[in-house]
Amino acid sequence: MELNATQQAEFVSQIARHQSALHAYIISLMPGVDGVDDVLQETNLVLWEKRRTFEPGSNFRAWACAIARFRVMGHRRKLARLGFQLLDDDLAEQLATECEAEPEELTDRIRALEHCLGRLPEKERALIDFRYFSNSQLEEYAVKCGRPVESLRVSLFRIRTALKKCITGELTLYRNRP
Amino acid sequence: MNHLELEEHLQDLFDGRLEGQAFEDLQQVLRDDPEAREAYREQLHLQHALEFRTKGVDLLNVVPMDLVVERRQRRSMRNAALAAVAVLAIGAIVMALIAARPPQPTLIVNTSPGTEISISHAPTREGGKEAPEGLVLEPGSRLKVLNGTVELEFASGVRGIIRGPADLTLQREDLLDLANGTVWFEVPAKAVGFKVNTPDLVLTDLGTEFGIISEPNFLDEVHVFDGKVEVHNRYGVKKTELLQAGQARYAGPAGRWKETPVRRDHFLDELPTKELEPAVVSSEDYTTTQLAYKDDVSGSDLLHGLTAVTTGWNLANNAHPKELTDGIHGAGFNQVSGDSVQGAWTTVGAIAEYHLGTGAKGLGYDITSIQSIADWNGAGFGNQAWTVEVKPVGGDYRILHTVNHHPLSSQPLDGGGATKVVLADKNGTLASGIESIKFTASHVAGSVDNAFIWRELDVFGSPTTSATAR
Repeated sequence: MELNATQQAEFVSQIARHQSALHAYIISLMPGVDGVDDVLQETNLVLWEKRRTFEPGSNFRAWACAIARFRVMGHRRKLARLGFQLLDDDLAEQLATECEAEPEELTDRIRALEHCLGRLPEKERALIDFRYFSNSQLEEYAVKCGRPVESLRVSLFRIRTALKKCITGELTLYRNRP
Repeated sequence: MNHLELEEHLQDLFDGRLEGQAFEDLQQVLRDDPEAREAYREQLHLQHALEFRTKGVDLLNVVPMDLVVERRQRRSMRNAALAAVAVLAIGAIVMALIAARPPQPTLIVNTSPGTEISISHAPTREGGKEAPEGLVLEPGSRLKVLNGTVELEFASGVRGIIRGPADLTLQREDLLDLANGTVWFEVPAKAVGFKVNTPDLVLTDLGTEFGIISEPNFLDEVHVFDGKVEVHNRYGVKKTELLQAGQARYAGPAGRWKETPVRRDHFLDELPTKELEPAVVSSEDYTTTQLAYKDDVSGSDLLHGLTAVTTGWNLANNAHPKELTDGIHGAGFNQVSGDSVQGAWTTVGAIAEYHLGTGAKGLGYDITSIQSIADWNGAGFGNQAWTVEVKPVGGDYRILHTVNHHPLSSQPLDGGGATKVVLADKNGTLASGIESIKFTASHVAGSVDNAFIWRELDVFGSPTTSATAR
């Protein structure tokens, strides 16, 4: 039976609220593999198509993650057939615990990241922006800024390590807030 | 594997650069070492946060109404960009110009008294012909009806009556683009196949009499009075449906067709011989502050205490049309135990009909103003769209006014707000000698199921004292 207007609004709100958790969950099952956004989008569509089967009051996050997991496994099978090296299924399942996280926790992490990015020197911030905002290769950026690619990789390594440390510190502050 | 190597491997893994034995080594460490798995999660969270903040997530594909809002905005811009004015005609028909013109033009335009129109023609016409003169349209000509009523007489025998405001372009003898307007058509058997395009649909006539309503920010409607038409939705799943006499549909946002009551009285099938009554004065307010109009409701208007005859309302979460006239605005969602929705929850076509009675003099009531308040904490439910009809003592219902007020439609689903509409008449009385009044909810743009939460409906007036009132 079709959901009524309030139920539909609530359902859409649940999908929106759990986007971050689903995104993290999908990455955890296929780290370093292209297609995370595609799988997330497919998951959203399946969630919407199956909205009538969702039982109000039950655990939306668990239900959504179960659907996401099926989509990821399908994607992984395709990649495996193409010869990509992927984490073993058992290990991937063991590592994929993101569905246990509350959406607010992931939101806090993004907020902390923003704060930490703000502390980066301009050149380091520009490198992070290039790496995550553009679809271009690091080689292009190397030409643009006149630095060897390996040097940029070392910088990225150092910046990401620093960001993780900074985020951990910020989260400690958040947890102690009133 | 030491800590530095683990860190390097993890970053390479999430960059998609880890291969071969290094990949297998990392897997083994992750299987064996809980601290390595914790480091994996830290790296995962960073990767997720960096990607998620960058790309965001496009939820539009699971919220079809947002697509509709976007489309409406595009349409508004397109309409604003179009050019105008060639002829301004007020009043009677100038048939002499047309009669002198051989051969018969593709489309002749007649107007009712008080009507204002403009006609423009395509800048370069086929075969280098001069632009036609007078109230005629040829392929490429555009007609804008600023107000009033216009009759279309096609050479093919198709006849149409347009209620302004409207904007249409004749593409071919058998193809009309209707950007907006309310139009009734009668198509003879020899003209079967006549087509009307609107922003939402393509209609193909199969020998019939039908009406189309296409208004900015609304989903287009088709009402079939006789024969059959085929309607094709332009968007989403692009559903095509064959409609029979007595059926009406509006073009659902996902490309499907939704039922709506057939409304013959929305359309005129003859050109009025005199200027129509002056328009009702409608003052429309809105705010993004919920409950902003909570103190404006009335507990002493004509509807207060009356029980309506109702059909089609959504009664979920304790919503009820009786709350339309209870003189209580109502609180936000779930604020009152056992009454989660303190208002009336519309569906498209929901009706509330009130019998006022014949009043102290047996002449009915003079309606002086009508106030309507919609309000909600999200889902676009603070907008409002409805039609009010009045029935004189011993007479039939007629449409008094239609309200289309949805300023909150471009908000996100979680954006709350309220709207208030007050109808009045510049001469002081909206309608006189009225014994019944009927409200029909229409569809607002940008809300779930095109519904809204109607908080209060107040009708003000007094018993009619003189039978000579209008």
